[in-house]
Amino acid sequence: MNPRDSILKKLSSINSLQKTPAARTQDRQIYQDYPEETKDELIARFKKQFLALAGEFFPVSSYEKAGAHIFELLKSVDSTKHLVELNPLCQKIFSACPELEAKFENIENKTLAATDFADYATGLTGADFLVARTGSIVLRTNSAGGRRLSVLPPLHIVVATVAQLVPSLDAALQNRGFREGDWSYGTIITGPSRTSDIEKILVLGAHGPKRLALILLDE
Amino acid sequence: MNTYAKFMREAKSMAGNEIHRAKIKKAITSYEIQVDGMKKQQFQDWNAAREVAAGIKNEVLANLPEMLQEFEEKLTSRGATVLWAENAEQARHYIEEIISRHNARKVVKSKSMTTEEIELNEYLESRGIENWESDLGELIVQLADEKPYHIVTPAMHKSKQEIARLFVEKLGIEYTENAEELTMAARAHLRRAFVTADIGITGANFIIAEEGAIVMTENEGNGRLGMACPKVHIAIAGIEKMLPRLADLSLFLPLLTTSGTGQQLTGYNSIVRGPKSAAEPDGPEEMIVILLDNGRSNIYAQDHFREVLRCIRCGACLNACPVFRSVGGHTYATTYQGPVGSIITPQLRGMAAWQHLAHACSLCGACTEVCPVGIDLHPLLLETRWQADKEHAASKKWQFAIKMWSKIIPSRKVIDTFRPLMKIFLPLAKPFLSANQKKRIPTMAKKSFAQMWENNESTR
Repeated sequence: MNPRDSILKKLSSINSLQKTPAARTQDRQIYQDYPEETKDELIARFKKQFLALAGEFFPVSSYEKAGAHIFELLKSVDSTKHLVELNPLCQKIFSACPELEAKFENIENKTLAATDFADYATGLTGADFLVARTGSIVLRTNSAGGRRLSVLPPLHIVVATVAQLVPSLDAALQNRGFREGDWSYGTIITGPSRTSDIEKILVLGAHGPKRLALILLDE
Repeated sequence: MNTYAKFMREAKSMAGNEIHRAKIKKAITSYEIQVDGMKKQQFQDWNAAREVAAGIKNEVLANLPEMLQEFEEKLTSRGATVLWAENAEQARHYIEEIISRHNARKVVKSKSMTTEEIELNEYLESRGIENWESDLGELIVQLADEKPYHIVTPAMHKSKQEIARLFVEKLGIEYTENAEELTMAARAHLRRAFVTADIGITGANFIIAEEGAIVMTENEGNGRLGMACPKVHIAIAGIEKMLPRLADLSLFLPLLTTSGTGQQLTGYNSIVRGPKSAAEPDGPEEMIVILLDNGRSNIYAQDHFREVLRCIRCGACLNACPVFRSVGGHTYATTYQGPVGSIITPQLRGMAAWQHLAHACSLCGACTEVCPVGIDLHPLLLETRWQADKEHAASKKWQFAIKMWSKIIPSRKVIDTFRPLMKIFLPLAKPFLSANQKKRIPTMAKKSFAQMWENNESTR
């Protein structure tokens, strides 16, 4: 018998198992109870969590202002090589700030080996959801230009709109759209890369991005 | 030396090691402050959360064969391969086959206890494969040629001075005790390995039946890099890592992280549904998930022990355990240490060689109190002793002692007969009575309690 059938047969041969009904998560109040929050309260909650995680937060009200913040962020790194996944939101920001477009190379027009990423200081991506309760950014490969762009460059800039903000992780994972699409990889990002493996001392920038910046557009 | 004698020797030496004690106290105190705060910040009702989590895991156990097949079907439909391994040897064999098929020379590994379980590092080394541990804690123990000290915090036992000396020797850096500089040295050391490795090997914290996905929890980004750069991704997951639905993560991720490190969520929680799809610019061309049994189905077959398969490997019971804190993680000489390790190791690796671990427990119940999936850990440790006795797995000496004890203790008369002898016998029995011979054996009173009771004497 092959190992698969042998394992399944062993597991299926137990007679004493009780077939319990599906457990439900909604039976009891588990999480810290927050009353239904308005848009501004959600933004405030997200901001508080995100800043506590050492994220860099820039709320903006126009594409021009978004572009200006990205410009400032690029100035803060000592390299001129930057990559972008040119999603519709980035495109609108670039249209509003034409001088910004020239700063970035579009990842779609390039075939980059993993080793080529060493030159790039910045990865600019979109996001799928922002989670207020935990200050998290949810990405899937189709919104993030693949798996490497959001993890290899030392500075990760995310552009998102307030419409993408959801109260909890549950709301993001249960969203109808989340499971759809031809994506192979999704990640819930909560702050820049970190470690406390040495005497429990927190250090940012272990292997992933050392800095995480979010431009949040409220039109 | 057998496993028991080795345990006793190590335990004696570690329990008296004050330097070790100070390091562990420092790490666990900082952990406890974080965890207590996060439980209150994140959860309205921690116990309700534990109950719901236990309920979901029970649902998994009741439907495990069906869920495993659903997982396989969904994941395979997106182009990944699922392989089933009954034991460590089969799992290693699969990996060897993949390595030789791709003619691979370099592997980058993220932290995974299942790879420790199948002794993958030793195996890859013996085959001359370059093997890079990429989690900082794992890198430290790999460079020091040690095993992980703790399932979540592999280098908990190392001070920054020790790590600094290790990095000076092995990575050739300037001596520094600054944790940030040491971390950056590790970052630089591994950077090239990530982008040039042929194969990325990871574990999985959860596997999702409904979605056909594996989920990986981490803080550093080394797991993400290992799944983003090499052209092949191998994930090794115990069959009990199952969750029914993707949405269950909204409970299990905060639960695992709060118990494991006291964070709200770890930095990165990745959901992987297959190799790179046609529309994606990068990612592995091949993804293989190895489902590992390696004795888990034996635990599954036993009504009393099945619930221990709910374990999500958060490490909370290790941190809470007074025995773990004094004897330390390496003394166990197992992949999984502490209370949960003392239950599953005899089941996974044989009762006769490992049942002594269930005796390294005062049944205080601190582990049961902190377990986020409500496993009755200390009753299961007692159950393990009972099973060992039933199977005559304990040493002859122990079995004889228990037999005599069970004859003497039920009868008042026999106890009274033996009492004068005990005064002589007790000091002689000292080596058998205490793991740490520094402990003092109390002197016996002149009269027994029963005698005083009969004479209506006051003890004052």
